[in-house]
Amino acid sequence: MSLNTSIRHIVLSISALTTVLGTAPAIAQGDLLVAPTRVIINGGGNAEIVLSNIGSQAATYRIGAELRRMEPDGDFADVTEAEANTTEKAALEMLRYAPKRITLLPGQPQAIRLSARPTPELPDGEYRVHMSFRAVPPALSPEAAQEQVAAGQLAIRLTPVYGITIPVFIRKGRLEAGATIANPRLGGNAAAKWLELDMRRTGQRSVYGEILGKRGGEQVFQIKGIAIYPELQSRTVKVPLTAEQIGKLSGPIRIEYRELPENGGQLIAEITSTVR
Amino acid sequence: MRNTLRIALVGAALSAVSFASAASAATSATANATAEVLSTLTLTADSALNFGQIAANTGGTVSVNADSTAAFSGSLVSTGTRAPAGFTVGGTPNANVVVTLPASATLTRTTGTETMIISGFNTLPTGAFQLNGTGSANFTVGGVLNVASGQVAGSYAGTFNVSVEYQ
Repeated sequence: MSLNTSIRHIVLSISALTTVLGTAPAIAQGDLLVAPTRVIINGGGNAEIVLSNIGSQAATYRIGAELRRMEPDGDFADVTEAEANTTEKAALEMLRYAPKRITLLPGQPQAIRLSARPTPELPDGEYRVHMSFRAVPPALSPEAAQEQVAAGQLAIRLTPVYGITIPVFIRKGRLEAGATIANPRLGGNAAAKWLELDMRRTGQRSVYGEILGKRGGEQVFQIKGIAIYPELQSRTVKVPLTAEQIGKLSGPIRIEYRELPENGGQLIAEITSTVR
Repeated sequence: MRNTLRIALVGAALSAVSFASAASAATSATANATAEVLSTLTLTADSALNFGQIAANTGGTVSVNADSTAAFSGSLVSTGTRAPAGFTVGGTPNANVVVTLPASATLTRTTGTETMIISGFNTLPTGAFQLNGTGSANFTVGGVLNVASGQVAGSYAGTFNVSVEYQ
């Protein structure tokens, strides 16, 4: 469902306690769909990403390249260009893309072209950039800008610039990688229960796949899209579980880390263990 | 081959609702080449971060948390509707999704140079989360507005980036 984000007003009264409230004008900001959601460029080449406006009004989108680092719990940390290391800078420098800004009608898709050419002197390895697709908030209307607060008042307009990022991997050289799973254990709090795993990665590139839990012939749980990026040697993974799933976790459980079925479904790592 | 894939992809992109059938069509085209084509990710904004109405004398903070609790410190008084921003993510069932937020965002007075900082962005669910069996999930975003003592009156504007990604 599409719902326009409107600019919020937060009205502060500094000297007086008189309440002043601005009404929030409805303004279109684009909801969006992006596909594919991962791009791998081996050795250099081109790719296309489709961006589509799934909102109900025309919207403008900004396309950019950003950096992220994976943290040991699987979260991402935003990395500014000033904080970028050599590998991250090289990744940003080798990536070209266009257009950088587009306006789309509702339902209209548009392809974004990318290309990456690692220079010969770059060391072999996996270089990664996160392409971002963000809805640009519309400029403040003249009426809204004129809607000044009374003397001594303070008004705030805070607009989320929301969007989707997708990882673009540029691989140079022949890269290998492997992974292991260890120490499956139950965790949780009052609101949720989960299975926690320790995962380790070896090699020069990231690993990516899904985690499957099986007892006997029955699949008890599945979580898709688990990656370990090259900046990490190990991370933890939490698989949310229902009470019914936890009930099935008595005795030895086989836990598999596999490539996604559409990538061949090869086994990357496995462990058969009882869950504590 | 390439054209076939493109058509399947654009079909998927054109209509999130009919995506499942478009994806199936793409699957039958070829297993390997469509691998990266099948997944899509959508993001929809449902509601905005709202700090309510604030009366300040000597500065302080207003916190609106992702779990919808709110608090204020200093001599601020906060009333009215206070709510975290809400978003809906759509994509592959059971897929893992990560939300990235900045450390802080700056609001600048529209007719001046004075600033105010929003920091302590937080989300619910905390950290990476999983889309449900139908490929959907909601998340909320909260933050802390820092109002300085003697904050210059006027209209302040700012933006902050929210992005989601399949892990």
